[in-house]
Formats: sequence, structure tokens, C-alpha cells
Amino acid sequence: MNRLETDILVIGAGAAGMGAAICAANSGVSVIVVERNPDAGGILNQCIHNGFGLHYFKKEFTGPEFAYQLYSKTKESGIQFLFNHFLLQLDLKNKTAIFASEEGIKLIACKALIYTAGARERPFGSLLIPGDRVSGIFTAGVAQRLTNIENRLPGTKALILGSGDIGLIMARRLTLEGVEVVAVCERMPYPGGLARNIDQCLKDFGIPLLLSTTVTEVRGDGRLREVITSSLDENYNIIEGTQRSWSVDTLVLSVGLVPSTTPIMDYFSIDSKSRGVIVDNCMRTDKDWIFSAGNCVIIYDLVDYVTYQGEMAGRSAVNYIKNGNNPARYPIKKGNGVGVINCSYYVENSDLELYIRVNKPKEKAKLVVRSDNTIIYEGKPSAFIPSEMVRVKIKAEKIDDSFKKSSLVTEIIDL
Amino acid sequence: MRICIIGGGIVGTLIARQLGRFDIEVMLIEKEYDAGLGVSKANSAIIHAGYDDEPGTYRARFCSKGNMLYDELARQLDIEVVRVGSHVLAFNNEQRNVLNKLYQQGLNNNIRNLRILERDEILDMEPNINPDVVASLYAPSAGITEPWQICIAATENAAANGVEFHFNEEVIDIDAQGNKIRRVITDKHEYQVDYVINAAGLYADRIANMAKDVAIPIHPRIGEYILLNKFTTADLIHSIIFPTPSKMGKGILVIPTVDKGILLGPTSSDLNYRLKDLRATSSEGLEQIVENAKKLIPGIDIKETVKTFAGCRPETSQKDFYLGASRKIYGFFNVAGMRSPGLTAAPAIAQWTCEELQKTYNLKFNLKKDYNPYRKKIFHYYNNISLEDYDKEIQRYPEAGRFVCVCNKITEKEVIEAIKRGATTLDAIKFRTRAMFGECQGGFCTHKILQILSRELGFPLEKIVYNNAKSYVVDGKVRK
Amino acid sequence: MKDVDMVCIQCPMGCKIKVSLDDDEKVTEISGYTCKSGKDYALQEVTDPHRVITTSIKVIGGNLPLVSVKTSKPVPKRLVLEIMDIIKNSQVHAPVELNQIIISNIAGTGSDILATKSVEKL
Repeated sequence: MNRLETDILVIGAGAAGMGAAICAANSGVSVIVVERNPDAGGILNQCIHNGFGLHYFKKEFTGPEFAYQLYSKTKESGIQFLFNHFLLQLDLKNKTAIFASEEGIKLIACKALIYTAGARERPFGSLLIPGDRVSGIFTAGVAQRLTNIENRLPGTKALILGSGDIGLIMARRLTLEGVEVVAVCERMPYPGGLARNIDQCLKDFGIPLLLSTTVTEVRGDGRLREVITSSLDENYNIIEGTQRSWSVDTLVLSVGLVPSTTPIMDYFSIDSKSRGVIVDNCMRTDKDWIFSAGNCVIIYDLVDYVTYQGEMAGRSAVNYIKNGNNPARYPIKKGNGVGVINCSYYVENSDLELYIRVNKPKEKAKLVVRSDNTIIYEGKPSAFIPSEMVRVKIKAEKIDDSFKKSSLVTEIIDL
Repeated sequence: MRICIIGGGIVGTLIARQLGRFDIEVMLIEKEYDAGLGVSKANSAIIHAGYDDEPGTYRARFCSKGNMLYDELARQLDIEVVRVGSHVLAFNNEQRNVLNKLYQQGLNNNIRNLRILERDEILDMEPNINPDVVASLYAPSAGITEPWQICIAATENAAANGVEFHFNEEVIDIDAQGNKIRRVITDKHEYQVDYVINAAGLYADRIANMAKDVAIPIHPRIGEYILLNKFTTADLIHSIIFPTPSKMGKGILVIPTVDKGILLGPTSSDLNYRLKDLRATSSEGLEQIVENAKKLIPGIDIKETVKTFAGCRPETSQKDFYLGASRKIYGFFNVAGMRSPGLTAAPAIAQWTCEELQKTYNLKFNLKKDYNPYRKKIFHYYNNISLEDYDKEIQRYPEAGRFVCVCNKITEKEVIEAIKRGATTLDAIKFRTRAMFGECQGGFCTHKILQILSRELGFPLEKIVYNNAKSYVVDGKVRK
Repeated sequence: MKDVDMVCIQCPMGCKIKVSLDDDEKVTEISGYTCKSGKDYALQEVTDPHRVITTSIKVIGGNLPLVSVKTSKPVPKRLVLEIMDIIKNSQVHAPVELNQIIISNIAGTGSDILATKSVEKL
């Protein structure tokens, strides 16, 4: 068995992990990044489309390019990477993580741990769609992996369920490679992906987007042969008589991501509903030496945001190692209109960076952060849609102490 | 002398293993790629205690006996059988009376340690049961297992003892000229045989027709299931929870699985005999499961579903197994109509079949000198080995340190071992290793397993299927 | 007179831009943009829309069967299928370097096909 020591151990070499590692290493501490895949970048490597990095690099990159840019920065910072290493367990008492790889078992002791494991896709089985159990049903990520990395087509004629960005991207990708994409169906009355992806991926190719429509049955003998879709009313109940049959051999699902937290759920707290790691705005978990960032906390729209949050975790971990402080933290609550928010606690005297997703579209509204009756932040009036996160930065000095008596509340106020 | 078993489900494979003890020529023909892909794959996976079966039936005769045989079977075949116990819940006095009758019937069937429990004791044992419960029939000998693992294990053990297996080969005719079994004809070959054991599950009636035997009165009864995520629901219950049975059968249950998940189901609908290939779930069925399961365990959260599926079981008009030598065709022996509790009864029926064959046909089977009753399962490293030993193992086998399935923590070594033992499809890997069986349902590992299968078997990715010949996964190359 | 509504795809902001055209299809007004590149995009979009293509090219002798590629700048949308045909029939020998030009001046557009990752030689 092999034993290593480091100041900071990062688990997961995606955008959040590399962001954290770069930030930490640039403060002069030693950093090891452990990754279960053979390369850095995580899911970016199969996202060969462009649109990444406009915030973080102020330049547009494809997924592999974005990954390469970050990885180059880590190389300049002298960060050690261990690829093909799989987390077996954490020894909380000795602040040690234990990994297996084809070289053997490795115990890595650290002063601070940063968990950046990303997310997994919600599987077909969780959707309770009745019908035959057949091949030809893929999550969008699997279809993307097969097409872009394995050089294999998932089928010849496809229907896509879910208008999240990866569903839209795959509609275009498959179309370009000669797969006939008959429609993209979306259960909600509004699309799940970015507006520009609706334009570029669907409208450019004349692929219909069917809103308030879902898959209600799959049929086939061995391989998928037919998909039945139905329209939904405002309460998401099926409207009888709207069934439509599509003869396709492929169903691609873009029905959401779930934070990957089961490997660590015994060690630090996760939200039982969202399954994300519970962190404060410094990305600290309920263990003072463990931090977490990226899609294992909440699902972000943009890899740029994930990278920023990774950097925050890296900074906080360094701060913890150097100063050992564990300042008080206070709850941040979701008020009206807020669907998802990136952190559950606010650490006193720190700048607050919030990422918020509304729970339904708003024509005209504003974002407000308050404590009891004191308004701390008030955004400009604008339109909000759930598929596009709002990012807000509030300086520490703008936040008065009134939240200590109760909590910070974020809400979307209709105008 | 040659015996041919038709059907590689739980009874077929256990009979093959039983006959493999003797110095006789035994073969088994199965139309699917793997053992246990029919009725055995999709059922409640319960080893029933045996209080439910009316005296005088084959069910009563073989269920409690089969239950007892499972401990030895588990030891010999290295399969998991966990005696988690079962509760039949009563929510009113009328139901309590039914429990009392079942209790008496259980005593008549020689079921040991049955008890009627009162509310407080039940909730002490299972705090998540609906608090409106008034009583339960508690059967500590009830257990859970993975039926497909038994089929796979029995196949491996029987093959090691000389039984010949023919998968992916379908019987299309049986020559029974002069009312005597002579030949079995498949889509690939023709075999001279003396005895045929009809263990063809849902298709036993078709096999009987081929042999010109009297018609077997079976029809399919479909049951739908919902499987919940083990990581988030495992602590909900620890034993099998039944409602009070009704005319409609045992009802919808809440069942812990060996893999620590929770299974809900089954529904129960009789189908026309022509629909025996149906394995589809329905929205009505899934709703019915949720509604009824919540009556037993209100805290069930259906959002934690990882999979829904359906299985057919063969039901007979007598609501009993259809067993024994044909009176019309010499050498044709039926082990059919394996409705519930077929899984529990199977080991006892396999023993009985072996004795009955000798008795009926005046045969004397001699034990093989080198018969080995043991088989080892594929070793699962995660959490089953000390770090020191694991490290040594990886030095010998680097693939034991390469993780393929992230959710269930399955290594490449385990996948390769499954392939060495005969797995050729994704489902065959899944049922042998539990890879792709976790919360992401193969999202992270399907492409890796496709690559490993392709590499180890030496055929292209396009040829790899999920379970049957039509279930191809990928459809050609992006760039030729 | 007609108005064309579009969502700007220059960045993830997704500004809603309106372009007004007169009866001769000449642009009379552009509104709703929040930056110059948005305005330029809108103008281009109504006259001759351009797109960046991202796809893959077959690699011979690499540790991966494909290398991801992109057009070095947006190409006319009307040429997308023609360009895809050229790409589908092309191949490159490993090793491939990031930013390597695999096809130059594709379909006479002045845009090159660039590798967006490296592929090692096996």
C-alpha cells in the first residue's frame, strides 16, 4: 500500500476540481487531484460543441478546449494528478481518503479535502414510463459519449425527451451525423435549455419542439420500435385523445442531472431532496475540513459558474489550512419563486455569491435578498426563466448583521 | 441413456444440477442467451415461509420443504439467501381473522416459529409500517434471494459436473413416434434422447404440444414492479411486508432486496395465453403499486424509483404446479405451471423430479465419483476484503483495481470473470456482477462494458445486445 | 415591412433582438441588443446566417477513433451540409495536436477545420 500526504486533496478533475486545485496551488499549498477517469475535464471531453468559457475565459471554447485550458493552468501550478483512481472510503478521523487503482491501494492524508464529483443523469427507469423494456433508450450523456468518443451511432431515427441543453445539443449532433430526429418533447410548458440552443440546435434544422408533451409509452420487441407521446394539461395530467405514435428506434433522454453524492453520503451532509452536498457560501460542508463545489452541490447551467465555485472552494480550503478559522454561519432560505440556490449558509463577514434558479418563468420580476425586513440586495427588474441561472455578487459590507437574528431570505418578487 | 431438460429457468437449472450428480448423460436446451431470463428473472424474489398453501396441494408439499433446502443450496452455490422474515399485516378484525386462519394452516404445513404479533411489537420491529396496523402474522423463515443468481450458479455447477448446456437454441419439434420420446429437434441440431423434462415455463404448453402430450392448461399472469434506489430507501423496512391476502392473491408487497434496495409489487393480471411474451408495464399497474404499497409503508417516496419492470408467471386452472410423468407419452416428464411459490419450491421439486424419474421409468442413477456440489461466486472486492489483501490482489490482477460500475463499485476483474463464465450480453453482465444495476442504471458504465465485452469476446460493438438477439445497442459507426 | 425576432447566440445571455426590414428586405432598424457583437450578429443573421460547426473526424492509428473538430470561424449556414459531407469523407493520421488544421479553407469559406483536442498515436 502506498501512502501520500498533501495539503489539499481534490476528488474529481472536472471544471470544479481543476478550478479549486489551481486556486489552492497558486496560494503555495501542495495539491493532489484524484480522478476516476483516465483524463481531466470530466464530461467536458465529450461535449465537443462550443459555447463554453464566455464568462471565465472571455472567449468561446468547445468542451475539450475548455478542459485543456484549465488543465494547462494546473500544469503551470505544479499540481499532481492521479488518474484512474477510485474512491473506496474516507477515514474522517485521520483525514485520509483511500483509493484503488491498477497500481494498488493508495492512502492519501490531507489537511483539507475538496469534493468535486459532478453529477449523474437521471435514468429512464426513474421516469415510470410504462411499456416494454427494450434497448435503444439512452440518456443524452450516453448517446453523446457513444457518438463523440466511441464512434458509434445510437440508432437511425430518434425522439428526444426533455429540452435541457444536452438534449438540444444532441438533437443537432445526431442530425448532423445522419440520424433523423423527429421531435424534442418537453413536459413543461416552456423549454428547459438556453434560448440560443433552441435556435441553433432545433430551428436551424427544422426539428419540432413539442411543449407540454411527454412520452407515455415505449414499445418494441428487444429494440425500441415505437414511442407514444401525449400532451399534458397545466397540472401535468395526460390529456386523453392526444396520444401520438412515433416510429423510432432511439429515445434520447435529457431529463435532468442528479448530484453525485452517494459515495460520500455517510461522511458529510447532503440535501435529502436535491441530493446535493450542503455547503455555505465558502463551499464548506458540515465538516470543517471538507469543501465541495460544482454539480455535486447544485446543477449549474454553465461550466464557467462551476469553475468559479471550484475556485471559491479552493480559496476557502487554503484559508482553513492557513488560519484554521471556523467562523459562524447562518441559514440562507429559499423564499417565493426560488427553485434552486447554490448555498444553504452564509458565513459572516464574507462576500456572498449566489446562483439562483427560479421555479417558474416570470415575465417581469426582481430578485431580492433580505433579512427579516432589511433589504440587502435588490436586482434590476427583468424576465426570469428556470433554464437560465441568475448570478448575484454582494459585498460583505453590504450585509448588515440583522440576518444573525433570523436568516437570509432570497426571493423573486413579481412586478 | 440421455435426458434432455427443456428450459433454463430456476427449475430447469436446479434439475440439471441435481441430475448432474449422477453418472448419466444430461443436456439442457434454452432458447435465450442466458439462464433465468424468463419467469425466473422478474418476480418477487421471495423464499416464502409456506403458510399460504392449502393442504393437499403440490404447493404445500414443496414450499416449506424448498424453503428449508435453501440454506444448504446457498452454502453450496455461494448465493445470497437472507432470512429477513415476513409480516402479513392486518388493519381490522376481519383481516385479523384471516391471519388466524393462515397461522393454523401454517401449523398444519409444519412451518416453524410462526407468530401473531400485536401492533406495538410490529412497530418496534418495523417503525415505518402504517401505524394503523392491528396485527401481523410473522414468519421468521421467509427470506429473499436473487433468483437469476441461482439459475446462473446452478448452471455453472451443473456444467462443471458434466451437464451439457445449449443456450440460444430453440426446440422446434419433439419426435415422440409410437408415444415414446425419441428425438428433440432444435433450430440448430437434432438430438437422440430418451427422456424429456419439460421445464419450459410459460412455453411448457407449446413443448407439450410438440410432444403430442395432453394439453397443459397454463396462461400467463403478468406482474409489474417498481424498484427503489438502495442508497436512499434502504432503511425503510427490513422484512417482507404483505397485505392480508384476498381472493385476488397475495397482493402488492414491499420487499427488501438482497442488494439493499426496495421492491414494490407485483400487480396481478391474467392474460390471454397468446400474450405470454408481454413484459410491458402499464400506467394503471404502476399507479396501483404506488397506491397499495403506501397503504403498508406510507413513507415510500416514489421519486426514488430507479427502474420499473414486469414479469409473467405461468398460472394454471388448478392454481397449483403441474408436475409428473406424462401418462400418454413415455419419457415425457412435466415440471410446469411454476406459479408462486415456484421459486421457493424449486429445490424440493428438483430433488423430487430426480427420484420420481427413477421410480417412474424404473431407472437407477449412480452417483458420480467426482461430483462436486460447490461453486464459488464471482468475488466482489468492494467492502469485502481488507485493504492490505486488496492491495496484494491488485498487484497480481491490476484489473481488480480498475472500477467499471461506479454506483455498485464493480471492477473490470469482476466483469471479465463474468465473461469467462459465459456472459455475452449486457444483461448477463448485470445479473452476474450487478454492474449497471445501481442508481445511474448504466449511465456511467454501459460504454465501458460494451468495450470490455467487445474486446474479450472478439466481436464488434454492433453485435453486442442487451438480452435477446433483437436488442442491439449501437447502430453502426459515426465515421466508417 | 416585416420584423424578425431572434435570440442572440453570441453569448449565453440570450438577448432578444428585433430586426426590422422594409419591403426590399433592407434592414431599417435593429433593437434589443446589448453589445456590438449582438448587433453584428443580428445583421448577419437576417442577411446570411453563419454558424460554427463542431463535429468529429476519423483518426487513423490513434488512441481514440475520433478527433473533435470545429470550423475556425462561423461558416454560412447554407453550406453546413456540404461541409459535413467533406468532413465525413476525411480522415487524419495520429498524432493530432490541439488546434491542428485538418482541412484548410473548407468549401472555399476561408474557414479551417481545427482539431479541438489532441489524439495520441497508438
